[in-house]
Amino acid sequence: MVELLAPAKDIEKLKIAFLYGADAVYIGGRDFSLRANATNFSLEEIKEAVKYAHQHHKKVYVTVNIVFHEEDLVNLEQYLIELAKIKVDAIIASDIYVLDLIAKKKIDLVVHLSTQASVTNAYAAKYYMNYNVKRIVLARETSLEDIKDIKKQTNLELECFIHGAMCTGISGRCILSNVITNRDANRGGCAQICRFTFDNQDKVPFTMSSKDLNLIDYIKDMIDVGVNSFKVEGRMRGIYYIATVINCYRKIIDKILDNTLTPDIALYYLKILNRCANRDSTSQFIDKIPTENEQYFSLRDEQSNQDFLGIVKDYDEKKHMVILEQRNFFKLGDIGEFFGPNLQETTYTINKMYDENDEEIQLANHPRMIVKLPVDFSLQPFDMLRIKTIDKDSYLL
Amino acid sequence: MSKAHKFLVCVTEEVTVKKVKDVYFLFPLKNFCVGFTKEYTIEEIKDEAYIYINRMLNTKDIENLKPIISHLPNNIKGIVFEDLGVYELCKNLKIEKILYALHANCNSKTINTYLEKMDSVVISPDITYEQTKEILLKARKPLVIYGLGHLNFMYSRRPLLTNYANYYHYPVLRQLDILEEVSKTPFIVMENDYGTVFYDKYIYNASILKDLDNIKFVLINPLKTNLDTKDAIEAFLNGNDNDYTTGFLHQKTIYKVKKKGE
Repeated sequence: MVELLAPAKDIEKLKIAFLYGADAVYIGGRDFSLRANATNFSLEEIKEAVKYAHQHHKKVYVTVNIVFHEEDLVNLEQYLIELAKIKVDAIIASDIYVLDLIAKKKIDLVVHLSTQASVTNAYAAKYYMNYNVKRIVLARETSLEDIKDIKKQTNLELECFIHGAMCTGISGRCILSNVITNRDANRGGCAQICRFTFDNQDKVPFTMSSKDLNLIDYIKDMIDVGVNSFKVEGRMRGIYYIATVINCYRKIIDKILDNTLTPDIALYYLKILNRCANRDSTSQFIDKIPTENEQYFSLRDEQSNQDFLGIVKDYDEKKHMVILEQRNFFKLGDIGEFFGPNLQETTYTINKMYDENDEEIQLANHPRMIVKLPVDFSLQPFDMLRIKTIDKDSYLL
Repeated sequence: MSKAHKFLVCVTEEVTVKKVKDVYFLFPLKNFCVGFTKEYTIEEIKDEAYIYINRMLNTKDIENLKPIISHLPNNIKGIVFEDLGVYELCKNLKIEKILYALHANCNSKTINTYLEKMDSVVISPDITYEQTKEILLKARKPLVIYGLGHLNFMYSRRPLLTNYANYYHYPVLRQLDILEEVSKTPFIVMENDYGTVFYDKYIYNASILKDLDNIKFVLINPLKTNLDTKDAIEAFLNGNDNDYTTGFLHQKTIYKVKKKGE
């Protein structure tokens, strides 16, 4: 089994993730989840998400992975029972009491051990096997050799992060947020203090911000050593990020599995992935202990991204006209690229465009304005238009 | 009158190791700890003592640890660890096994679950006095409290000081005092080959906990405190003064930020 696992902040992102090729999503409930200030899913919404997923032969995992304080335990058992009734495909938990409670009360839930438990060796994995854990989400600090050994010694399902933001500290081993902001990092309140700046007397300020993770070059090796689930970070991310990253990894994984991945194709998707977040990415711990090359020493290196031009709302087959909802500024003459779950990336030059009243316009400059573009190939709702990134430097002003 | 506590004292450069009633020594094990300036091989530990392993371990580390664990001499009374792989390695040995998972053990049910296998657990110092008291009341076995020392705020596998020095072409320092720019919160950062630890610059003193029951050990870590064993224990027993911080004992952390109007 090779699973592509996507984050979903809400039902819209969940549907986008599935549409673009995710086999499963992980979501947070309103309680007990490590993104305490995100929208998150109510039990009713989890029910809707699971129903939708199962109709499409996909899976939903629910995070229950805070570090529990005494008062947080109220309603925990009832919540787990409700999740079992909803038939979520698994919960992602790290607290040993949650694991034990499910086992002792015979609550019908599959348990995946959260990366918060920071498992980096087979013996730690064996400890959790006593609690009927079916899968372990390995620590991001785990190397390929460690993954291989853990698989060999436990034969557990293994899930690894392959893309997205990185903590500077080991997951669950940082409370800088608690100290500086009083927000509890291990109960979902992380304020990302590791991206702050620290005075170092007369020297250049100390920083430790990590670049992002990107394991596109290691997917085949990871499949070969027995990784079952390839996880993308980003429960706070928008639909363009989810669609782009999932689309890239779906295609990479499928091409690895049918043995058609070439270096050129891999490089093409790497370039797309590199454009879609606001930080550089590296392979981090999979092949080494990260050096200064895996960190930022000036936060100005981060760049905002405005590649996402719009999302397809409809396509008029008779008029060969796409109806697009704008997401970032674009103008006549810009060169874009349509992509979608069932669409090969297709270059498109914006030579004409119209507003929703069919008036010809030069600019798409209002957030979420409706724009009509003449396109002579068929598009589907939820296909997207982005700035053509690969050779962008050569033609953009 | 204060309870008659037993103390588990980390052996650091400040500490004189000599037998004192109700004081047990905890030696950071060489190559298996982060955040210490001095570590010890098993051979260097002569008297009855506990060993401390606070690193998260990879496969190679486990392989290196196996022969040490399987040949522990009789003077090693117990082991304090963070990585649960260590428990799996030593579960059949007749030594005390104490889990010190830095920030994880914040409620009685989690701790009682661990106590089905472990001999004791260190209560996380990330919680309030009232929460600590409740845990001690409900715990099925006596627990360890963190009594005095710098609090560990972050543990990274990355060599953060080396990376910083290399980037700016500074000489590599293994210890640095820094201040968070906005809040002016000071930290001591310490690095070795196995990672980096951010400590609170201020010394934590949980003296307020000294009258509570069900305490197996009061853990004292004199690292960077300039306090010898006797002074550190006295500081704990004599109560707080302006030289110390009480961490989160009187400061409950926020679980969810309230939305406008809530």
